Amino acid sequence: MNPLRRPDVRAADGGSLWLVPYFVLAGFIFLDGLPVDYQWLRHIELGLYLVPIFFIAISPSERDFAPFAIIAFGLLNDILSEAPIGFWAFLFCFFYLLAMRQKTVLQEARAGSVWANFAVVCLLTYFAGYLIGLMRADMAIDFWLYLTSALLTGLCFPLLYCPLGWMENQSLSDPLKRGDE
Amino acid sequence: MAKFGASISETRFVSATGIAAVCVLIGALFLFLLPRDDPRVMQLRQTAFDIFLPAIDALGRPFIALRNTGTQVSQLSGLREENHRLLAENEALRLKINEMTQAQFLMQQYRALLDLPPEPDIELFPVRVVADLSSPFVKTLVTKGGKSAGIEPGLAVIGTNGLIGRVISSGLQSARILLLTDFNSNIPVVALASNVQAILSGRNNDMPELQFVPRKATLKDGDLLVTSGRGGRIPIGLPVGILRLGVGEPPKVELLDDVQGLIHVRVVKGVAVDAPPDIQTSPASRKAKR
Repeated sequence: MNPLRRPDVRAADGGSLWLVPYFVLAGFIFLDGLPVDYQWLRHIELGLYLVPIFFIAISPSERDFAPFAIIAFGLLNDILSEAPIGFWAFLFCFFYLLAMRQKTVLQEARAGSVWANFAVVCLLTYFAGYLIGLMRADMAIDFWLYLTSALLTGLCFPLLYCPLGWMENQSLSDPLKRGDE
Repeated sequence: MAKFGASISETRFVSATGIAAVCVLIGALFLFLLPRDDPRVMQLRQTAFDIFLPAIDALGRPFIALRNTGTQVSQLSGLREENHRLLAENEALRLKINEMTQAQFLMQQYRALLDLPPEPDIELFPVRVVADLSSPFVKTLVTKGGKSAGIEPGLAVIGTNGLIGRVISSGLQSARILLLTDFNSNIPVVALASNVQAILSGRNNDMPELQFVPRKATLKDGDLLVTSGRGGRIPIGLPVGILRLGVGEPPKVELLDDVQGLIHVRVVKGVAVDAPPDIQTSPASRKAKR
């Protein structure tokens, strides 16, 4: 596509592709309530939305509005998942904060290190969610189920992160889409 | 050229970490200061479902279609057995219909004798489930079709075999159903064989508990529970579940319907029943009251 015909969507690092992780995040929030009839999946709280948040947090193209977008998505998830308002907003931002602190370390890190880092941050976030559950009377969180959910989320990480990473590499390497004048 | 969205400004007052930390704080403030049962929050949820329902529905459709295809394929191998089972079930149901016709005739006679007012008609209509919000916080379903389809808060909702919950709020396009398994669900029920009335309370697990059971009541394991109609919102006699008694624990109920993974449910519409009439009152005294 000729980028000159769509000047409004050009950005510093690859057209409007930087929006993709946000769309993925929104998609996971909308799909969270999908009716499933798999017995084993019913009690698992898969946090797949943490993958695009991690991607946004350690992305080289830093955007100031990202934390605000993350909290807005967290609030949307609170509303749509009927969680106490602020639960996912807090956890999303907490996760984002932890992940973005690893950015410099992860810039040149190997894929395995990035994965391990995600798993640790993910576990910490789930543990924070469990602690919040202990403080509230209207939540009944099973520790082992939550731990299993965190581990499963960690296992799913490459399936989502690799396509996002590949897409970002493509957009950054495409001279037509770069914003450098 | 200005780089849209990229933070290249060198005169920033707050670092990126600072902004993220402020957002964490805002999230925590929301969490601890906003009560969950605030009516404005309830309204906000309902409005959000009305707005986002088309997106949720569109995104979920391929997965539902895939799930249905998978179910159909897995059922193909057992078609012959399924056919035999259905034929046997059909025969049994025909016998039941004969029994029910007899019982209905007797019921009409008794009602005439007791001068009972006519029971309101029950109208069932199916609605599609677009979201199953089962989490540590709630057990609710979101359906397509709200006030525009005549779904009002308080109406009972049944699955294939029995009651699964009730409508707690309805918007223009969507409605939220509180499942029997939710913490906040309390439904008046009666055990058929032992004739004991109690409240069925959700515990956020698969088996709700019976509460407020009279002290001298004797419950029977395996007894069928039906709605008692007390309170006037849920119609009388809807099957709910089977009583399971354990040692040293409150009586639990195995629901007739698996409340998770449902794609279609039926709303019991147009029922505004009064509390069951006191049958100890004589017809003459009731006439006098009128």
